[in-house]
Amino acid sequence: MNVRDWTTKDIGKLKAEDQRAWRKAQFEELEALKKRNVYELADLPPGCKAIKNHWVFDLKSDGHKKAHLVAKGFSQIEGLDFDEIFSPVIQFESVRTILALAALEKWKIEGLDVKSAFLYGMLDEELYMEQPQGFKVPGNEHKVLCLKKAIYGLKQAARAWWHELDQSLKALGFSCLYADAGIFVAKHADGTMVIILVYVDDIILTGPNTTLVASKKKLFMDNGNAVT
Amino acid sequence: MRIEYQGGKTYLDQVPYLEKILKCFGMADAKAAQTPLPTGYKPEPFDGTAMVALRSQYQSVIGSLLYLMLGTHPDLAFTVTQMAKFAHNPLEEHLLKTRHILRYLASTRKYALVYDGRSDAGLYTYCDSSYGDDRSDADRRHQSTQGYYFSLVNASVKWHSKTQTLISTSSTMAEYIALSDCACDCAWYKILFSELGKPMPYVPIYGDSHGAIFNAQNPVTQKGIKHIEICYHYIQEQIEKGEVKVFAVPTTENVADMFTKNLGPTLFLKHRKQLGIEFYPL
Repeated sequence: MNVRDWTTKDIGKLKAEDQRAWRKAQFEELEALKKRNVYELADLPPGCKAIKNHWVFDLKSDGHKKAHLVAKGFSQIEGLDFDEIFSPVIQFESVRTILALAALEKWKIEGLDVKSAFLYGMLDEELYMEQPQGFKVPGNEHKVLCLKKAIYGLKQAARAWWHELDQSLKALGFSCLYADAGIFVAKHADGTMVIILVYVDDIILTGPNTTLVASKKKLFMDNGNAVT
Repeated sequence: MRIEYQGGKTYLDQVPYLEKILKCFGMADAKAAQTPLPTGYKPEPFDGTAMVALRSQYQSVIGSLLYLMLGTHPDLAFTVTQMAKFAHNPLEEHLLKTRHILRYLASTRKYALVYDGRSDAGLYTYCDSSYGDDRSDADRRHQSTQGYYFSLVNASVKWHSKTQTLISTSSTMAEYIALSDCACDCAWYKILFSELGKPMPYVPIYGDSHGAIFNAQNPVTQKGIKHIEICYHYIQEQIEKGEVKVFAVPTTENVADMFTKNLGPTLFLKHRKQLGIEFYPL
């Protein structure tokens, strides 16, 4: 069976040593979520229902064990737990066209990707999630997690990230095109421009002025988003 | 998708994904195939009901092939869209033919889409259709197939292959509809480039049907074309406004031919070169 299909139960059947290693991976994930202020412990308000969650296990190509805590988006109720969920994705032909244009104009291309991008998404709704399986806070087992940021698996996670990215690019002088909402352009008075292609968390920058492209990249990375 | 630069050229490929699916479908060491489908092969629909296991296996192969085709494989545009039509009810034979596509992919795995920065070729498009040769419809209606691709710096940036939804009464009509659809994408390109501050005077379209080109350039009402729906006259308006220009090329030179029919190796390999697919020793 593929590691990605494992459940917490399957982990429980492994050798003690392996179980410990996976548990360590789960702790690392929870630490990362805590560091990003994704949620805080809270009482479930009466009448609210907490969203369920699920552990996803993954073996990276270098053998590193990774555990992801994801929300069970299908247990969310429309109109209550989420509203709009559409988020634009760049078209393949736009990516190829800009790359071809860059080749034609001899522009340099810079790339970056955003680590755990969806955790940057701020939530509009007040959402509660159950405490993760096997990691309930002792003495507070009845409490739930009040979500501050969009965790992976939520219906609106992609849209929330998109909104966050759109805002931070706007602050840097970029605006998206009508032809494709995944292409952002910042035009400067001297006629030069910087083009940004966004494919969810993969970002490509290009433009006629190499220094300007590099400085925009740095600005974007410094802009509170710990991107690599 | 992987992007590499070397000597002023940009290489685009999906080799890591390709290797993964070849391994997954047990075709990593497959025998080479020159073309995606055997020459002359025309898939026929299945009248019965496919087995559930076969169907789900077929759908997963088609899904992977579609992703490759949309990403970096214009050479598969016709083949994969044709085979994908049977995804709801495939025959054992259809599954076998996807093995042939995987064999073709295995033998071209060292190829990439190459945008040659040393060429200064601008945007142009080739458009073609093939009249009434589609057999995939369950009711065996003979629709036409249309296809076009856009090229910038001598490599394809956009490709399209599709069975037309309505029945054409002539090859001219099929081609006229194809030109009209192509003009819609030309308009998108014009918007994109003007938004980027690089407006184009017009987009050249190359087609091989003199009848369709004549009808597009001259607002005549002839017997052969008078019944055509209004939306397909978009091409006329675009030419009139000077947004696009249509030029005739000989059929053998029309690269878009490979987006409308299953070509033999000679023509297929000749046209593939024009798409910007090049051997790229990694």
